[in-house]
Amino acid sequence: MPRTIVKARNLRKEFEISQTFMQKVRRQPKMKVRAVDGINFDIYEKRAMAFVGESGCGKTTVGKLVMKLLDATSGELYVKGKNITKLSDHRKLKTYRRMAQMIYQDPFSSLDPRFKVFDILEEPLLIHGIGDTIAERRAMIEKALEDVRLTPPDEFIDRYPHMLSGGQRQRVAIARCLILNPDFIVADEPVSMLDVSVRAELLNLMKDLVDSQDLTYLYITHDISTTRFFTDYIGVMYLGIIVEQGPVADVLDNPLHPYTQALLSAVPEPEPDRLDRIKEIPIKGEIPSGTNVPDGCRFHPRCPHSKEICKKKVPVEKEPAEKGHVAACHFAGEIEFKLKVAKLSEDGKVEKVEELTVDELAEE
Amino acid sequence: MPASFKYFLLRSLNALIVLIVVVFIISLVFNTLSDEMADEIISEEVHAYTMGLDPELTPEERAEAVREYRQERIDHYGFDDPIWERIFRTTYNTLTFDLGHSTSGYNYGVGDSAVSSIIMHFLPRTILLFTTAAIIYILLGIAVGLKAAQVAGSKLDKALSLFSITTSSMPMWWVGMLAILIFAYQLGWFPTTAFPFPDETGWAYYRGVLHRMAMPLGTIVFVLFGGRAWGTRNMVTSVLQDDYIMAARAKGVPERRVIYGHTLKTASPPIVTSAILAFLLSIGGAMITEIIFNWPGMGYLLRNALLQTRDVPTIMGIVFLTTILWVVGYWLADLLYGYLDPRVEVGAEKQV
Amino acid sequence: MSFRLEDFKERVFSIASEFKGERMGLVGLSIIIFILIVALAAPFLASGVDGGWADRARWEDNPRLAEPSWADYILPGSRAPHDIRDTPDEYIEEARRVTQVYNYENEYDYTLSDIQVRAHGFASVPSIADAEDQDVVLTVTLERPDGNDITFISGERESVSFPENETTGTFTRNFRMRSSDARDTLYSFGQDFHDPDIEMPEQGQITERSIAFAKADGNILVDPEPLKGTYNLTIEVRPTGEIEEFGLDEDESRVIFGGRKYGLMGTDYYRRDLTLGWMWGARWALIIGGVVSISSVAIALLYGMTSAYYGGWVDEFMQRLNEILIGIPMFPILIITLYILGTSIWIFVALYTILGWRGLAKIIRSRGIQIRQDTYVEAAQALGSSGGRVITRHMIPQILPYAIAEGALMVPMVIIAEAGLAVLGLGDPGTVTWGRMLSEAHGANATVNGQWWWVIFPGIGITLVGFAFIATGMALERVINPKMRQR
Repeated sequence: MPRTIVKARNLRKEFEISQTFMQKVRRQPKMKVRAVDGINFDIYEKRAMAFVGESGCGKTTVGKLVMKLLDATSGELYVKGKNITKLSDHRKLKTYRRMAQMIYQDPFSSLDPRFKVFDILEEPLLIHGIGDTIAERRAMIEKALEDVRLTPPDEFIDRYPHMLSGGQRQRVAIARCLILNPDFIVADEPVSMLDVSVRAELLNLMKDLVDSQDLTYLYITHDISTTRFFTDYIGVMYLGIIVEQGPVADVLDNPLHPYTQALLSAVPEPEPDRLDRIKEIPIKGEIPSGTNVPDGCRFHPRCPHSKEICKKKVPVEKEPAEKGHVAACHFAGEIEFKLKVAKLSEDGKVEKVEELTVDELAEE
Repeated sequence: MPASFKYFLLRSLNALIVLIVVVFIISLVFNTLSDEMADEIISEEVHAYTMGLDPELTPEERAEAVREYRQERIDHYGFDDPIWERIFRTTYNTLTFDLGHSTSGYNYGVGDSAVSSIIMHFLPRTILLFTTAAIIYILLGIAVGLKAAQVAGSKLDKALSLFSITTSSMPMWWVGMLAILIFAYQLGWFPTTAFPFPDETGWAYYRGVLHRMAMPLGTIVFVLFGGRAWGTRNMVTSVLQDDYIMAARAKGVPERRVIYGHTLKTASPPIVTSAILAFLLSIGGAMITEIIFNWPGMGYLLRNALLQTRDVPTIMGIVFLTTILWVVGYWLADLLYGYLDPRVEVGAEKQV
Repeated sequence: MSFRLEDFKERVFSIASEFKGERMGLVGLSIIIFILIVALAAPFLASGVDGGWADRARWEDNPRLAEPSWADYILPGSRAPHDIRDTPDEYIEEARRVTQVYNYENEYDYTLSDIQVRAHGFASVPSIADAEDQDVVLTVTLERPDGNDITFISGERESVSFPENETTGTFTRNFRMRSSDARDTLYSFGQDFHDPDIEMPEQGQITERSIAFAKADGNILVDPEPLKGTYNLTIEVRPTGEIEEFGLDEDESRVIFGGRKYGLMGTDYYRRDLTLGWMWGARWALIIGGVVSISSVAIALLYGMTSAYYGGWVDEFMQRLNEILIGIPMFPILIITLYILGTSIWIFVALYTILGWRGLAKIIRSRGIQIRQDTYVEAAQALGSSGGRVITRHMIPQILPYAIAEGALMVPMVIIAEAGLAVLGLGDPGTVTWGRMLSEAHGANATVNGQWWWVIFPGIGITLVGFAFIATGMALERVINPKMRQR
């Protein structure tokens, strides 16, 4: 078993909704959003862990908690054995920042538009006092650019972000992380804003870096289809909690939680020429607001298998199948997820409606 | 509307705090640095007292009387009291409109030496001039601004832009000087000085006043209406670019109704508040304009108090009055904005 | 460090290239450059004017209330130029008399404003015993082309002062046509010709200086017409008592024919060259406008950005404080403080700065909150930047061009405020500002007397600088923030 590098125990983060001056005067109770509501996970060294979920599920908050860009409301977060929730000393924080780096979703806003590539990459070096001379720093910058395959570096080093494509910008952002030789990287939807054509390329690059640079990743995405390719472990988040987690192959091939099953079925039709059928995803509605979490299993209002117990009792994690593959559902391992599929005739009319499992659908 | 009433209370409280803070600052500056002035005030008063003494008195009796009187005045003003006590007392007195007595000696021709009486004597003329001017330039500015917004990019629009930049770089009172050169000296249409007021009664008196008021009024309007018009034009054009205005136009709502109905409704809160703030900002310049025309108002009083009589209580009184005007105006602008624009805090309450 | 000149250049060039499309902005910028050159030249071309503005002796040789030299081209009539004569046209030595003659050709409609004479000479006595109570007799006469001479000084005695134990002493006599004696002479000269059918005007109702060069007709007092031709001003000295040798000193004696036009902008009542004062006015306008707006913008940037970056209670506190500050009115505070602390221009600058940044800080804070939400700010934090570093390196540069534009718009307000305070008598007596010039013009009733040049030029200076900065600032705003382009 590889060493644990990040360990979260009962991690919680609440946001207070800011009040208008009048609301404060009226002493209205402060509204709280439970963005992360007591989660546990482990990230192993030189492995990639993915957090998947719809927007608003708290996955980005987890990333920022790990990055120490946000302070946890309660719970513990150990990084390399140190509890970083207690970290407040400026110098220690700076040391920590050198160890953990973040890649943002939007490469158009994560790079200061007034800085050239050189300045963007030089900044972390200056902050941490790495490299005594400009020449030394320049060499490091060139190396970093080569690492992210922006070659030849000379061609890119004097450009402004607006002179780069989205993919190139994201590579610069990655280079900015790598230049500090971090131990692990939080990648918050690093490819979702990019053209489909360059996504695979960038994911490939990141995967290569895991191997060549001994990196650990926390990969945050709403697109469950990219996780199989890139990560070793996966956690599925819903409304601030992890509903299912485990090795990526186990979770994807044998989803235990109805929510995971729904996410998997929402993956776009792999065969675009199959125009003769329409899938209907059985979960209804949208993710509820974090200020108003449902009682019992928080997925029950949207769950197609919801029973009485689901409304009352909070499910505990179960491990019905593979080792390390757990799900927080009362019926984990007992339910089979079915999709409604409408078969269409050639003139577009519905011929018949069938209920198929994911496997059956794939076979057809 | 309890919520908006609370907003009103809070905003009023804020205004009151500002007023107290400013008066306190003024009292502090005044009291910590005015020992010399205290001497001056006392000796002015003692001098006036000496003049009125019975000429039959012997020199000894005279000296004794003066000494007693001096001590009485020092006690009256409390110049022997500790500094903090004096600062707080000045603050309190000013805030309760107890502005003291003028040391000018002749009270600017007003019968009473109380600063409040003197101010009340000069204030109506200033109000007459300022409010008349404000009504004209604000209405004219809004009218011209609306016209320019309708024809944005046209020659009229560009001319307005140039005009407003030019007039807002001119000191208002300098334009007054030019007006005297042209209309009084060269053309002889108006009197070169507004004071004294005509020595007539009835209709002739009012005509005379109007004749004297024409140039200062024209000057204030000339300098300020361009800025108002330009401001209005900008606010209206920015609203005109909103989607719902585009939609209204696309639906075929007549252009007049787009401008006067939809747009003006949205643009009115900033137009109203910026008019109030611009008026407040122009007070200094307008008071100096009074001086240029010898208009016998607050500016004239201020200049005399500053330059000729060094009359500190009167200066303090005028400063206090302009402070009140500013604070109240600012308060009013905020309240009006909140009232006119339902999106501000008052309205945000209702959603919750 | 990481500040690199070429980046800065590139940024400036990109703004500059867009700025080229802004016609008004370019006009404004050219005016600023012009004013800047004048301001920089002031200490060289007008050295000492700033401190010496109130020094009457400094300006003695200038004409009083002369119009600008170019007035002849735009206004009817011709004006006598200012003419300083260091050497006489003739110097006649006779047995007991010396005479200096200055020729003056009058061909102007507006005749001389003044004649100033300084007669400086020497006289020697045979022995030291005689070197006491010796006089010379002076006569100053204006010989007119029509033969009606005016004798201003008629055989008046001027005592000779001898240095101790010397037999040669000196004497000096100054004369001005504006002196009350000379004015009386001119009035009575005019009375001789006055048309008896017209009511005789009082002396206070006439301008005596015109009489000297007027046609000797019945209207000489009420409506003098210029008499053209050659005039001779003679200064005659005769000795009395024991004086043996005497004479007028060529170097020390002189005559000034006080003109009606002078320099680019004329002169004021106190004979000061308004052009030189105007140059210093330009300098002070740029200094006060520049210092106040630069420091206000700097404070506003730091305050607004700190408030926006830290948020929370820091922001809350800073905003409440700012709200109170915004409520403080500028005008009364300036008056009372300048009145009590003294009217130094630096006190004005400090006060205006203290109260000048507050409104801008509010706008900058609200923009700062938007910038704060840009991911690169968080990215910088994630890299380990301190708050100060994020503010100075990422947030302030983002808003700096906007702040500069706002600063430009502030300059005219500062200059106008200073000028207004000068009219209230709260200007700095040690500096020449345009406001001071205007305040002096007002004090001397320049408008009522039609002395347009005294009123117009300082005001044009203020307007020009104001216009230039507003036009430039607005153009900059449009270039920086394309959303504001509404045409």
